[in-house]
Amino acid sequence: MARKFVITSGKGGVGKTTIVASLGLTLARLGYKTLLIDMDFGLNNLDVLMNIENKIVYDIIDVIEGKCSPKQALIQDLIENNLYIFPSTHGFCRVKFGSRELLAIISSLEKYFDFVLIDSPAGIDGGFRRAIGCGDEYIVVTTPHLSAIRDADKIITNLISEKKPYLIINRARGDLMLDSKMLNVKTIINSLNAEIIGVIPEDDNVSLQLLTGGAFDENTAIQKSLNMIAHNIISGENKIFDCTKKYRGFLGTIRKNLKSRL
Amino acid sequence: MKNLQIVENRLKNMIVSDKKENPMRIAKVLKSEIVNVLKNYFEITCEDVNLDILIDENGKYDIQINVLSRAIKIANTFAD
Repeated sequence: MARKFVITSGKGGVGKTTIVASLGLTLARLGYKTLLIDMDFGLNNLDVLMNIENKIVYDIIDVIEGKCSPKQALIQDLIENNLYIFPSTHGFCRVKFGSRELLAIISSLEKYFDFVLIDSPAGIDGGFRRAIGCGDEYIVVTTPHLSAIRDADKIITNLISEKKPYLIINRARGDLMLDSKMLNVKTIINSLNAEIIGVIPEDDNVSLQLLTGGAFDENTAIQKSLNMIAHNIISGENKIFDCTKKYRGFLGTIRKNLKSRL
Repeated sequence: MKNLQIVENRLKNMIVSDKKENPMRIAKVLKSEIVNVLKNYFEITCEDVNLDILIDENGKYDIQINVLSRAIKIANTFAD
């Protein structure tokens, strides 16, 4: 039985899809069979991020309509053999469906995988409810910005689970946090009733990945933080990437000052 | 530093104020469930139960339940 994670957020644009794609690649690299499911119907972009938009033959609606089996709709990742993507439908949804139909599809596939990562739409409307009905564990993504944290709190209140939801703080700027120009990790953790599972630093490599697809370089800060999140998920430990470390000490202060002048 | 303190206070106020909306939604349902449980042991009606869900400045819920009953149903206490 796979562990099924729903990656969600209150506010849009906090990096859910990027985290689903890159965390999926990280887990697959570690040897775990991982399935990514895009449940942002109509506004899906996971296929673009994974560079498979031209390889889609069947989508989730075709499966619901019985035109193909769930397995036939899966697309294997171009780089990682352990990684599969279940494409969503693009544009207008032809049929009405709920968590029950989606859960039946996931149930038929989960025996082949160790992890299922579900990309949920932002917000707390029907799409969100449909997505959370398909998972057992939840990862709420926020950025260190007021609006995103407030919306994350609303999402956490709306999650009904025995397990406390996990929290990922994305786009954290260690230099700004040290200069008290951005809400720090501790303040965010204290504000939200969730278990912190990772902090992902703001990184220019994301823009490049969004253009070309594929995984991040192992030496980048973002990949190191993703490795930590994957490790936390697998082992249950709680090692968090310190985004301020790079900017502490003598060299760090020089680095921070140079960055503030750019 | 001062600006960050203002932002932290804004965040705290926003979250506490959002939390205040939640109890209103569940108070009615919770009250009805409490009445159903207590009815097995005490003679009470819905009007006898006073339920208040307050929220402190740290965002923690303070649930206050006050129940007045005319009689106890001792027999039910020993039921299998």
